[in-house]
Amino acid sequence: MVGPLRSPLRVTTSINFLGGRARTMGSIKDIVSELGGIPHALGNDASDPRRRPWISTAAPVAEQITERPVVDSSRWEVSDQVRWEEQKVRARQLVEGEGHSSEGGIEALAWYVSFHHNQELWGIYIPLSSLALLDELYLSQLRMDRDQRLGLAWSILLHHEQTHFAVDYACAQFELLLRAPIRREFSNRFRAEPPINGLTGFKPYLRIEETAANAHMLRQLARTESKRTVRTIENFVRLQPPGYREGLDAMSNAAFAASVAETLRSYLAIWAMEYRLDLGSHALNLEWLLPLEDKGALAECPVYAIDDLSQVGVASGSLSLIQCIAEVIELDGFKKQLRKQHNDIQNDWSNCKDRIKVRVPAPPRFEKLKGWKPPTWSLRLRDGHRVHLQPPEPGAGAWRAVAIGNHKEMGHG
Amino acid sequence: MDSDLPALDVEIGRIVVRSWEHEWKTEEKTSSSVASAQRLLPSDFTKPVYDILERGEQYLLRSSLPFLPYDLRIRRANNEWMGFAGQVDWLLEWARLRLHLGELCPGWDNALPQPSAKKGKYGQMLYAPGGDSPIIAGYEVVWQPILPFEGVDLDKLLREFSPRYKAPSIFESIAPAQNYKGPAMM
Repeated sequence: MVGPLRSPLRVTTSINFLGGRARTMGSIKDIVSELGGIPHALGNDASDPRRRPWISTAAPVAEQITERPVVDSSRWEVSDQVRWEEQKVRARQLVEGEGHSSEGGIEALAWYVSFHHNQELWGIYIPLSSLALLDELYLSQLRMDRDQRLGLAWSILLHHEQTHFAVDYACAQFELLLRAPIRREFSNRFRAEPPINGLTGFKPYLRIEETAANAHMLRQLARTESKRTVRTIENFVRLQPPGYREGLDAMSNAAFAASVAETLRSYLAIWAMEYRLDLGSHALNLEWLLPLEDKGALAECPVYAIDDLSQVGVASGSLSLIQCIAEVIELDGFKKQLRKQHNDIQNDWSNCKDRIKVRVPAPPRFEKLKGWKPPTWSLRLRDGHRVHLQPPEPGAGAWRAVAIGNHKEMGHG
Repeated sequence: MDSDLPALDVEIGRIVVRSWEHEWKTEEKTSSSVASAQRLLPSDFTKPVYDILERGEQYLLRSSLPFLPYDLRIRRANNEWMGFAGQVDWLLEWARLRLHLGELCPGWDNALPQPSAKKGKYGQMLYAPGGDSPIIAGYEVVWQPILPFEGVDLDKLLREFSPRYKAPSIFESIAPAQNYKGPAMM
């Protein structure tokens, strides 16, 4: 379990559990190593990627997350109401701003740091405060409990930022092919003086990439969420700055492919001139260069959760991300019940304890029971059996197994 | 990363759509795309004209790429871009712009607003082109370079990222005006 977060907290999907699909991409480590041989392809950004650009406090701790976490807000507490309200206003201004900087839209809530710019701490950064802000500002009308909404917020931010990683990856492939520093030249152009007179109409961020990122997020969530939930997310997208909001128009296969192609053409334009490449052909399927459907590839991108709740007026520990359960103590009552179970169930529990050391299953296989005090989680075993687990008290590390039985015995109906 | 390839000349510009209908409605002479050009006449009626405009726009899009962050486009100079556009097709479309509006859209004059001229808010006269006018009198899709008459040396845009870039020597760095091997075009 993670929470409260103490050290850098990283979320990646374990490749061991992907099953089936072969990994097709080269590892980022190899790519970075190769890019090192291309002058100017790699650089080191001095800024701390853990620090939210619009909060001027010290960088909070970030922890790498290795699985899609289950969010637990049972200890939710606003410690400074005034500050929390201020942060909500500020977040809304940035998320819905007119797009005058690269820190608006969804990037006000989460961000991707390219391996081109930071080889140590590259990855996706999602502050815990952003989950709460996104929930309070845009998702609170949904008919689901807070933990589910916070989990949805995580998915919204993750899918968007994964698109930026996928674009970064595709750029790197072209860089290796051409031996050219495409990504850093492009980024540098946004900060450098115009190289010639007459260049006007400066746009602070690549709008079409944000269109593609929001479209990918909507397309992914449309597969798993209800229509009402998707409509709510669409309303959130509609409020964002130019580029972001056009994600709504790029949800069809053709429009999404077009947005991806135009994104890559934007990065590659000058180099297409330099190397006499023909990128204008509409028959060219540039969308396939983004590893967005390759779970193994996406798992290569580290995801960090930032514990910044205290910076926004929320008590530290108010939100926990549960990725795995490393230690379980079986209480006496539980042991007694376990002995009465069939061998198959006993074995399943034994195996399950090993599995949850790596990751907890997604809801509803692992879910918090509504209204139970103390907070209790249900973990499903085979043949309708369940284990009830209680999370560790603050300061403790082990979960407690309190009961085991079938659906009826456990009071589930 | 030294390259033996000579630096290309490129053109930087934008695709501009000129339409009398758009000007009539908005008093702006141009729009940035055929799709965003305001319509005055029924779109079914003017479809043959807009089909030509859209094809012309496609050729220009095909042969140029986005040039960010300046919201401009970039293409090869010295007509090299025509290879991508399909030179023959492009010239054919260009020739079609000389067709008369009345030929392409029978009953053109009857469809025009009456009167067919009006004064704009700044006192300028706005005219609806008659059926005996060529399409190009009322509509056009053009590449508008930001620097007329000359291309731009690609090295100028690539800066220190150019494969031909030479870091200034300790002596040159005092006056670092010329860091490129290639000819300076600007």
